[in-house]
Amino acid sequence: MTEQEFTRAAEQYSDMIFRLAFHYCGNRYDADDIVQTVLLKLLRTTRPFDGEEHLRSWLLRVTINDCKKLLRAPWRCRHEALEDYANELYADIPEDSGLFLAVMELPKRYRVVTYLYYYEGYSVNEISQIIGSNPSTIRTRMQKARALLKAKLKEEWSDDE
Amino acid sequence: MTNKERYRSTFGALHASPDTVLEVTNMKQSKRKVLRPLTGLAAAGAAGALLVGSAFAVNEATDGALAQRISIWLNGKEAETTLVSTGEGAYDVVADGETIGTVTEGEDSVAFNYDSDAEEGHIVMEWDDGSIEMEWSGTGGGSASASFGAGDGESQEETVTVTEGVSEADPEASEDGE
Repeated sequence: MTEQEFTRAAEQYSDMIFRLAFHYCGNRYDADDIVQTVLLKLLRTTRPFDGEEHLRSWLLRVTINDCKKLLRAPWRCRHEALEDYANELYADIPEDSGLFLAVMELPKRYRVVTYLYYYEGYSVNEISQIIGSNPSTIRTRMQKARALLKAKLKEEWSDDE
Repeated sequence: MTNKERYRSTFGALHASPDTVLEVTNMKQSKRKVLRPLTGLAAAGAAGALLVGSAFAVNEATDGALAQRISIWLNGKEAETTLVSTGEGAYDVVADGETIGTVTEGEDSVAFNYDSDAEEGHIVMEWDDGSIEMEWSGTGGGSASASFGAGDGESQEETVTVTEGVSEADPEASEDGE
């Protein structure tokens, strides 16, 4: 990967890596560490990428692996009051903090698939390939996540499939 | 507004720190990895100053010990760790009865040299006011150093330079499911 290609990819995908890592880790400090680690791996990899989608899915996969590795570390002890972060993020649009907190209160395994589905626009089958789980497992997680979001947000969250 | 649109609107507010991207860009040549302090220091503007102050205060208070607590994990397992003073500001790091490296305390830095067969390792040195961590991967030897500010109240970065032993795992090969 040339320097120009790396710079473009870093600018284009750092927010995606951060958002996925934030959904996984639940705090911005770990998420920023993951961004750094993943971009370093991108910088050092000699792997050729067959197009933009290949690069994107590789980055998502590396991000998930690095999040798992980070959370397995016994010394990891970062926590963040999500209400404070929500107040900071949504000072101008406080109504958005409801969905933010509802999602972040979901179990981690639901948060990640929710993000990949609703934000990144992946299908259940594509998410199963990225995460390495059975499509039926992803479908079940999505159903449970939707039910929990509906229960918390009520009319603010419409029924969808 | 659909659920997808609302979700994107809400989480579109999250952005990676511009500093993080800049750090990686700067690392392209130097291969320096910037580590952040653990909880409690993450938001402290004078983290470096705090760390330096506490490190040297503790050094006197603990009769020469470098840190209040030192912990090492080798291949994911915590090792029973002791520091054995070998001279002024220098210590052998003994993990599970085997010397795996040395720690040298400088005026404004801590250096760690390792020579271990463990493929992955973490070392954490803790003080009451904070802690620093270093990590390595790949067998063999290498060195890392964490530098602190001079206590002037300016925000400082803790940096770790890994000179050898960096390995990159194939993400697809290391996928292990949730």
